[in-house]
Amino acid sequence: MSGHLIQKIVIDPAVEETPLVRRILAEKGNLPVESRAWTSTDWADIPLHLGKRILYVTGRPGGLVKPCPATNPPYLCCRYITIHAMTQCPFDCTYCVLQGYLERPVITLFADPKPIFKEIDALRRAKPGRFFRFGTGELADSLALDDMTGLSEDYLRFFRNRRNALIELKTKSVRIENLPDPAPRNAVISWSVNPQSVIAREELRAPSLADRLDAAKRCRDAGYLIGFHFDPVLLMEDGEARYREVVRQIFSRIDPGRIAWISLGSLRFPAEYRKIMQKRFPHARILDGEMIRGLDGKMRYLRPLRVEMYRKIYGWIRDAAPDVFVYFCMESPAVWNAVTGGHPESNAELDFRFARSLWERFGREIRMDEPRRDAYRAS
Amino acid sequence: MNWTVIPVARILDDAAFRFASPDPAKITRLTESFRESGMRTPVVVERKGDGFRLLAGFSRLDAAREAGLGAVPAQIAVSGKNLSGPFYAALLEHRSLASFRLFEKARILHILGRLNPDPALRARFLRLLELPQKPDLLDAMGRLLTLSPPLVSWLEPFDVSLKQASVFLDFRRSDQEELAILAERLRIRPVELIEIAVPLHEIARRDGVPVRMILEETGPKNPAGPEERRPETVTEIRRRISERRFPRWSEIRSRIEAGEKALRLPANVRLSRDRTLEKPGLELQASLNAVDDVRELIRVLEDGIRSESFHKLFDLVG
Repeated sequence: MSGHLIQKIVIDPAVEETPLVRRILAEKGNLPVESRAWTSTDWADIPLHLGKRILYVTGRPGGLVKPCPATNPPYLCCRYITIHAMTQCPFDCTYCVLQGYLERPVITLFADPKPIFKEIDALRRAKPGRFFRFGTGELADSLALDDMTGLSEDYLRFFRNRRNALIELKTKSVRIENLPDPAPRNAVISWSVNPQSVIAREELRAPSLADRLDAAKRCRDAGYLIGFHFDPVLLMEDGEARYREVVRQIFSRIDPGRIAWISLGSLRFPAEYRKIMQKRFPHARILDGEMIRGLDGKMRYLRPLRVEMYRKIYGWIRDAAPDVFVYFCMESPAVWNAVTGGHPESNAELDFRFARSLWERFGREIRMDEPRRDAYRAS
Repeated sequence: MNWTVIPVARILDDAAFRFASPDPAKITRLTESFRESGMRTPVVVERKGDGFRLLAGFSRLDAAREAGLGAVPAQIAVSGKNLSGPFYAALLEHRSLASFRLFEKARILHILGRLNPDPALRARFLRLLELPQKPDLLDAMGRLLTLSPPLVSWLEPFDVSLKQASVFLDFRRSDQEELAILAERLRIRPVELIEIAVPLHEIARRDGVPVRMILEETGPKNPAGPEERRPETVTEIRRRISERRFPRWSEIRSRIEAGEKALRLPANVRLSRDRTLEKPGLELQASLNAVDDVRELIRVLEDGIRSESFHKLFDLVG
């Protein structure tokens, strides 16, 4: 039960009769529940660390399926589609951009998934030649509260019968009890990973690396495809040994043949968030790195330092898993070149390469059509 | 308010209403004027015990004392009544001569906190000070008064913004004093001090050492006597601090600079690059006035390729 992460539930009376709310009320245990419709002035004075302990369930008619906010050129992005079923996260990572990005300090869950499903189908119908990757883990943790919300089941059931689409549930948690066993098709469960020392210091309230990897192994044993996100990669003393150990631990538990993708992304954040991070975590060391303001306005490590660390992590991954699709999140063509020897020409090309890899490795299993390059040209 | 003449000796040394720092030049001008033709504009006081507490006219009182006047004209605000009105009038008078500076506004806000004027009058005060009714901003103004006095005295003559002055709140008071000494010594402007102070603070935080210790390593190397301000001194200090803050970046930059030097480009050719290294590559700018210039450029570039100087450089910037 997510009781240790959530201390109070607030339910908008307009959604009291929805199945999701009934499920939450059945699973809430001893958590206090308040019935009221909240407005922005109600949460204006709630500090973020307390807001992260409150689950607010409300309604919204639509506009919850969007292209990933990504970043500006020249940095390349993969054209992921984000589902904003929930916003805000019960974990409190020092580096998290949500602490500046989201206006609401409380975890907000939209009670009715039907408008979301309609938007997903509309998007698929509009571009039938494309394979879409959707995810609920961009503005929230996909599974952290799943024992209470059971959202994963709704999404996995919906995607089970959708061709040319899959859902990624991205998490730091180990709340996998609700995931159907055996695994439905068209689902990837992925974990953000970092060395345990980083998790202990920078990812407050989040499970340990070993627990995450054990959960990943259980999912893999149930037949799920697995993803890993080295994001954010942090530069630190002994970083090389620590990240090498993470790679070793992953491949000691998970067969590369079941890993759909691995991403690498170094620490980055809009320059104006620096003050917020400093204020919320005055003792955090993440801002001590040698960073510059990138061409998209985001602070990131100096390029040669990023390349140096990526080359190592990429090399270890390639040694263990030559076929796994490895991509960089929000990185420049120059970095792609320096690490992999080439770069996608555009975001559309990266999206195509992604689809191509999935089709070649898992096409039959996830029921996708062979991707054609021309279908990926238009944005 | 009553008008009268009161003995200077009965005016208390009480700076509770003083919002502007003493301006020696202004006091000298007033002193000369009072010696010649006496003091005509009254100060504003309230009765306090056996004496008087000054509400407005601090420079005039300083000058009256300097001129040796035994008594001064004064308006006496009725004690026990709200003093906000007379204080507002004093500010209006000040405003007619000069606009309020940042630290003056901060002190006035502090005084208002004691006077507690009604909301309508408080709004008029804020309008007079050209401050919006934003609690966060007003709180931030209030925090400026916690800065160490030597730093405030150094900053005050400059037209610094709230954002600029707030940078120094991150420092311990002893470190603020070190920065004020450094600024005086280098004769720099606040914006230059901030450029030095921000990385200093980051190093101090990262390494857990006092700013003073970092300044001993990176600051001016001539501890004896005031240093003439020379641009290269400030540049050198900034370079040393930057090397300490960004050691890897400094090392890479040095290698790039060495690589550029190894190309031995003629004076009419200039290489430039994105300072952050995010934009890969080099830009080469040449002013060519004759075919010989073109030949010379080609020769130099070919030499660079032959000697592998370009290869080494592109390993770093490509």
